[in-house]
Amino acid sequence: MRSYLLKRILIFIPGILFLVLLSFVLLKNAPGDPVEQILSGQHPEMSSSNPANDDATLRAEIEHRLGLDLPLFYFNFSDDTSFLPHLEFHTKNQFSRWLFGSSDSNGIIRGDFGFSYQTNVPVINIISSKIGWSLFFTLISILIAYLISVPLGLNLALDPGSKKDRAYSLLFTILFSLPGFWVAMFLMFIFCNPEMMNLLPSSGVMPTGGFDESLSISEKFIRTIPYLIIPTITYTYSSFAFLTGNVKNSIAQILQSDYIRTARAKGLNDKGILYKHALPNALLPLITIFSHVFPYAIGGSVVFETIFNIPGMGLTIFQSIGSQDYPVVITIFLFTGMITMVGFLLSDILYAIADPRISFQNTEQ
Amino acid sequence: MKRLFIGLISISILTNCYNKKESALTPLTGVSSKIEDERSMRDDWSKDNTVVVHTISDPDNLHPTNGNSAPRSEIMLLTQRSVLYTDYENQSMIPGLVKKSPIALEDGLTYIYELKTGPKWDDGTPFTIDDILFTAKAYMCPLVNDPAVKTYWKNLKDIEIDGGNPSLFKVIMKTKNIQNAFWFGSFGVLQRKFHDPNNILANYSISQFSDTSFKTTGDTILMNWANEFNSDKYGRDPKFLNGLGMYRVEKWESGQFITLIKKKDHWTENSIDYHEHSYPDKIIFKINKDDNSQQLEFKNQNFDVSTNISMSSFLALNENEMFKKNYSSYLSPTFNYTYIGMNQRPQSMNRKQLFTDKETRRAIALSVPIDKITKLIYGQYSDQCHQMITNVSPLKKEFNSSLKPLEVDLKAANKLLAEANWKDSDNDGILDKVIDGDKINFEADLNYLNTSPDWRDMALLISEELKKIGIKINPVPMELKLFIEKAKSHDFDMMLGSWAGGSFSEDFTQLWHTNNWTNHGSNYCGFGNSTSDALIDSIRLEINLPRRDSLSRLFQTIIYEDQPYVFLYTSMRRNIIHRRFANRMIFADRPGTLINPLRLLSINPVITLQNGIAP
Repeated sequence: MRSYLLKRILIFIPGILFLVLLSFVLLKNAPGDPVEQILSGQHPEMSSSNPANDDATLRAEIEHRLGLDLPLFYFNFSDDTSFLPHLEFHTKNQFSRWLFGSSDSNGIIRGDFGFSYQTNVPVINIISSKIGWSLFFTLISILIAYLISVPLGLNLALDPGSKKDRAYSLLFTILFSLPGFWVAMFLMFIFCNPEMMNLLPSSGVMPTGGFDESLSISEKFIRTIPYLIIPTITYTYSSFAFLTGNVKNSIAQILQSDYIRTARAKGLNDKGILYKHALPNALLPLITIFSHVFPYAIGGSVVFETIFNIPGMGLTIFQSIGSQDYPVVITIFLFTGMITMVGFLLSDILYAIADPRISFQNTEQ
Repeated sequence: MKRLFIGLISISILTNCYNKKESALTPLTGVSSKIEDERSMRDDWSKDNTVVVHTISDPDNLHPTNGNSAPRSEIMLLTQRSVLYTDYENQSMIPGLVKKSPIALEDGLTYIYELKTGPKWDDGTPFTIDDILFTAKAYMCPLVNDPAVKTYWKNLKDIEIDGGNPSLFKVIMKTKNIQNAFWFGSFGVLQRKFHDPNNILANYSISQFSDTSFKTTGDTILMNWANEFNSDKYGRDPKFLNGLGMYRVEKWESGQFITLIKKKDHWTENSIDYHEHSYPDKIIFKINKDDNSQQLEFKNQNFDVSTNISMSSFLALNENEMFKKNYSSYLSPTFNYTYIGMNQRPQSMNRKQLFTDKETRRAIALSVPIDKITKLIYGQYSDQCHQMITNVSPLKKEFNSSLKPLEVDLKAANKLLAEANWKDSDNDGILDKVIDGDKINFEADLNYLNTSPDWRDMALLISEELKKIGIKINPVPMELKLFIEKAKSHDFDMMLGSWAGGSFSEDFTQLWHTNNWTNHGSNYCGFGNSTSDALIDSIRLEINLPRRDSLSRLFQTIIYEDQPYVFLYTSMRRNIIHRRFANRMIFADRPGTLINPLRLLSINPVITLQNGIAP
């Protein structure tokens, strides 16, 4: 297992670098200009009274300060019209500056992810301030989904084709088909509307103006709960429907197996069959699903965060891509890539734990 | 049974039509309006003296020099003070931190200011000329990260203090410009002691910073000061946000809200100037981007003020009786306008020479029904919308009122197109013309922003209307960055865009000077020649206001005749203010309404008599 882990970690590094390089190149080649974004600010309409937009000297200064006047990468094909294109090499380039640093930064290799072009806030501060809510909603929704869907799925698998099973299957299909934004707006319309049931707040994750300083942490937490109910339901319902169906089908299939028949013949009761034999074998798909959660934990959901006004990563990524805030976007891609790889590694380890037939020696061979 | 059913349905339809009240919003047409106060508070209105302002995003930062966003500007109006204040009612500037408006000397380059005595910083120290000098140097320092505003300071040559009077100073500009009289007043002043306690910038002069050959390489002392000044804490941490304004930032919860609280015993306490009133104890800017959520917040009376709501939400709310009982809502004119740009000088192999002559451009203008477009956007309130006639808002003093709006006239449009040699030679319903030996169909792409369905609807309407005169339009939605890139590289046929404006005297350089076509600036359509450039330069350098306005009107006539754009309409701002407040004022200029003078109805105004007369 140790050598397997070491091998995976070694594959990590070039994998991450390739991912980052790809995102770097794609972003730099996207239309638009981050300097334009900096000069024009966040005004929704283009201003006819902002001569900064047309100031070529100022533009050149900003490009130089941010290193945007450097070549993109270590080499490029020259764009002259000769028959054989030739390579041009550049020791000083944007990718190198970002990776290894320059006179005013240490580079990501030394943990300096730079500053946001838009707000001048260190990128790591932006991520650390936003990631909390994205992680919270993603993980809590997965936890709730698993806690409900596994027992419910097991229960339904015992009596396939019954009226109860058919009713739930219909419910899961409907739930899984409903678009998330519609569910969000529907719940808000019912529970946040003074013309309906005005029980819950409609936006934000805390009261307007924040909490009184005299409140304890637990009191603050209790007062936050109403703000979290509808977003949690919205984040969870779809995963719950999908997981329950998955567990039910998985268990139902396993219960048809020969070894289950043998176990029954030996006199094992239903509960024993279910928890000792069926469930462990049904775990593998659940582990696979779990490992795919990780990128969403970082990425958040731009739709839900917009609707519920949650200060999470989804909206941050969306706005950063829109304003071509390269340092923020590339750092988030980097983290997402790392977390995804960690997730896959974790699922491989959990596979081996869940199913003794899986061996790391086998994969090496 | 069937008849009964039909009868019931008919009755319910008729009843619904009968009961449907017309939502009549009072039209606001001028540059400023004062809303009549309610007589008393209702029982279900909150008596909390806090104003919750709806905003759609965080400011980029609240740094005194290094930011550039609309939410930031609104907050800075409350936390900072400037030498001059915008006179929203009269489209001018009035004294702020100075005793009177600056005196302009004959040379047109020198302006004399005299500081007020009285303004104090939060630490009790008086505001002095030292702070003025520091402010200028901070903005102009090459190492300060304020690219969006640095251009405005490039024309400043120096500031000289009067040796005999410590409150008197002269602002000396490099070149004449009509905006010299008021540009200085737009910027908040900084406290030297707070931002430069070691007085580092005293070692540098304004003229040094204004010299483009001034080098900062190797100057570690200046670099260290600038790194500290540029640091994030001066833009986000409430402990490091400083200003002369009546409010200070208490809390900033990113993505949620920013809370400002009123300073106690502030030097503006007895001011009669509405710019300096501070009636609310607390002002909270609450962030909310979602239309549906915004509507619910209004129904729950969680917002007090908004100028950021979409037109569809605005109209929906005005159908709701509960909302109308609690809020006043108005559509007000702004200085912003929407236009269709036509590329006179395309610079791409993909583009045809469709709009090179003014007959063709005028024909397009005569075919676009602006009333239908405004009806599409503003519905039943479209008659409150001002039509743009030329490149200056009809709200502005310098507007040339002799220019008449164009009416739709398809016959005249067809005649002009024929004069420009456009004809349907192949009877396919699309005009064509031979240009440089090639037969070209009159088929054009109309680029528009994909940020809102309104743009799409306008583009489709324009496409339908121009079909009637044999022009085929292909609406092309684009993301903002691509839209601007295409515009600047002159790789477009037509574009549907908008410009934001202000009440200040126009400087036409940015949008209409040929330099800003050559250097891929904001003159997207390629308007202009040496004559128009000379006129633009004259207007910019003319500081005598009547002469300047007369030149501006001449320029407007040139634009009107040349028709580089089809000018559409001035945008209308959606204003919502809770009825529980008095002193509600709405302006054409940004931010549209002022928060600080809003007085809760249950609080009596403090009356300060001036020469025995109440204000």
